[in-house]
Amino acid sequence: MPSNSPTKDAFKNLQNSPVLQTRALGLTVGARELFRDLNLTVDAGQCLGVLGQNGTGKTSLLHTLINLRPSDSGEILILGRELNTWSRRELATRLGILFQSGNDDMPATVMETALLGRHPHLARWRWEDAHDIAEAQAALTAMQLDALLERDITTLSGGERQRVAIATLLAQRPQLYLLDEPGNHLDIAFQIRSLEVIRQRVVTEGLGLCMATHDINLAARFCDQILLLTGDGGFLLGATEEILTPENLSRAYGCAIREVAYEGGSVFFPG
Amino acid sequence: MITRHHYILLALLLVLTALSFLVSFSSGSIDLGLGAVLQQLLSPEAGLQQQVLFELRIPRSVAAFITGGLLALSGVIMQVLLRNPLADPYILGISGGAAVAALSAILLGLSGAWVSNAAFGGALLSILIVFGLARSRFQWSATRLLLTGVVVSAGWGAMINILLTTSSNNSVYSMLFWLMGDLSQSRAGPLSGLILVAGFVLMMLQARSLNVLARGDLQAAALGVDVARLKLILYFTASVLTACAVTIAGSIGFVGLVIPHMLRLLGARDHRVLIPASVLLGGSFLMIADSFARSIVAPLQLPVGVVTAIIGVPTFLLILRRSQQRSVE
Repeated sequence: MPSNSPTKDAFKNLQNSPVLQTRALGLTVGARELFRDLNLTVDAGQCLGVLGQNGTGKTSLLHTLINLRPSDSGEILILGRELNTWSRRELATRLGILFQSGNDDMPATVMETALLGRHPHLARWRWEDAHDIAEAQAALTAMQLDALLERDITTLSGGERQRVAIATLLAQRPQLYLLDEPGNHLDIAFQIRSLEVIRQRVVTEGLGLCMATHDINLAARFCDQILLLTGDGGFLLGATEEILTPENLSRAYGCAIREVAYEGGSVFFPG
Repeated sequence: MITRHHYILLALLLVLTALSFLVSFSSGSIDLGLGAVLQQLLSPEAGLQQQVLFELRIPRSVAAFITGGLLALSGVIMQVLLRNPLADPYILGISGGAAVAALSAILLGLSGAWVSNAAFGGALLSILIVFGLARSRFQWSATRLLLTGVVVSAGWGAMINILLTTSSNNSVYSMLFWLMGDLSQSRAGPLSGLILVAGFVLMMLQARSLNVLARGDLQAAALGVDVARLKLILYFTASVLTACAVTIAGSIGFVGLVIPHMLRLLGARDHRVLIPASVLLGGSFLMIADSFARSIVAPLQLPVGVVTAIIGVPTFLLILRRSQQRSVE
């Protein structure tokens, strides 16, 4: 009988091992080597940003981390345990992903969709109980979707669908959040709001976050560490302030990028 | 999540099913009347009425219910497997394979059980052909499966036309009835009932996973579903259900496409509600359609596939229109 809260075992793991760790990870798509010898560590309470040009492997990396595509070499440890030793369902109780685009051809209400996040936590025959419904409800409230609970998702706008997808992920309550372009379709207020909600959970509950994005400023604001994929098989990895410099970014994107200091932070823009 | 709305819907469908059985028992070229039916059911008295009811009507009504249930359930599965609201039980060519085999049997002068057995064999052949061609290294793409099925269907369609154009007038008439879907010769054996129950139970076990799969392969995998395995189960379950329905009654259109849709528009989007609701509504709908088919122009009988479309098209359009108005408000 799976329980709704993380098991004791998971907490033990959480205290002793990083939420996510890769050892000498290498990834190839077709004939192209995206990167090799990647040694990442995301500790409890930490956020990692993945940046890089189109096609440098941000999405492929996230899909590899959740075992949707195989890696070429190296090891991935989730909560200290080798990725391949997790069963799909067990993994889904610890690891959640927001995909770049969802599939919303088939009808379902907003509430029904958010409740799908509870799927891995429920035994085959069990129906969602009050706890699951409360979890989904809270996630939808955090994404300000209370007025749309009974709406069919096929009738929603792109931004509203993205908020439903984020709410589904929140309802899943994973210990490691993987986000692929979380800002897609969202207005600037919701970009900040959704990442604040997730980041707050990550920090207060000692979870992990790994997000791939094109928005350098969003990454600068929310991430402790940055992985900058350079597209030639190499990468830069380090603390946000170290990696996000105009020189590094200009080289990685092949386009001049400038930085302006503003109230203790910086803003990056093409120049 | 099951709501009060869903309970009411399922309760109404149970009542509808019971009523449909009674209507189906009482209608036909010899009108029995509801009173007579009830009386015969409670305390059978030997005679013509009893003979008609127990030897003709009940077996045919049961065959209609089972066929309708099989088709509607198969439609639900195909729509989520192909993630395409326009998918129906026949879209992957199963009915085409069955039709070519059944028509060939008719052409050879065979009838009755031989035609049914040939249809079942043809359906199985088509299932295996599509499965073999669509699968590549355990990866299942809905588009690839759909394209393979549609193309194989087209191939069967051409063969059906060859058989129709080269056959004698006499056998063409039986062939057309078979193609339009017809219950007048059908007897559903206990095996088909068993297949419906087994398919229903198997799908209820997967029902919540189906809700997740409807959101896409990636999302389903990320939420802990073994997608490749589930799709394999879905493909073979839907195929066997369809093959069984086609064997009983030829290719009756419309039920598998429209019943799941109607129910979704009525609020049954969760598969744990949609699956039982589809079996009940599909079964009732086909029984009612069959009652019309044998009483409108009695003593002649229309192929039931024609009647399902005549009743179903306006009903569906009405529900579609009303639900659009509701979602605009």
